[in-house]
Amino acid sequence: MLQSKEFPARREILPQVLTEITAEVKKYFTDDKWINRLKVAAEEILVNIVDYSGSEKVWVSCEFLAEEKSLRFEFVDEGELYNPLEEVPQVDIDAEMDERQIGGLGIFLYETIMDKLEYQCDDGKNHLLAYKNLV
Amino acid sequence: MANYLMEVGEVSKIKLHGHIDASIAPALMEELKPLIAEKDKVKKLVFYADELEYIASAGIRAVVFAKQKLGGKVQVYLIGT
Repeated sequence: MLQSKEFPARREILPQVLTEITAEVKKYFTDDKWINRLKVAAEEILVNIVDYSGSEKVWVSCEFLAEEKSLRFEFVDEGELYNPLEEVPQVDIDAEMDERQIGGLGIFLYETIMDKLEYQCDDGKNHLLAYKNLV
Repeated sequence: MANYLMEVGEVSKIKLHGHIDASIAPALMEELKPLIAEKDKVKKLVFYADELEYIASAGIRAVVFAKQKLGGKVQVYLIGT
């Protein structure tokens, strides 16, 4: 279990945060494919927080829910209140490369990889909960 | 020393390798600049991905960016096993 841990919300710390998340993921997932997919999902969520929230800090936790057989990640920031799940941009993955839109790919990736996503606003902070069931 | 860009020419080559996450992708974007500066001579762009272990959306964005900047006539190939 990775208890809520505080990191500066900066791109330079992403490798460190992802190393800690991946270490936790490896306790429950052995398939490299899924380990990397969950790392991608975590990275995309963190990049959106770091680049767009305006928060100076981000808190990350990871907990295994035994009853649901699910790994739950929580990402908390104190930036502008924003629910990223409210308007998920549509990404046309079949579009020609010349016509691809630059934005929206990150959220498309983590929404595709995770089994469930929840947004909560508590204490004036954004809480994004992301669940992945054991496979 | 270039990390990704192997060759600029009629057939230009880029070798994607290791982990390309959001902290690394700007370096890949930077290496695309000389390629885009010579875009008139490029007919094909080949990305070799055999040694690519991990790529996040920031890296995918760089691949799409290259194609968009080179224009519709340039054929892009992504090769990997």
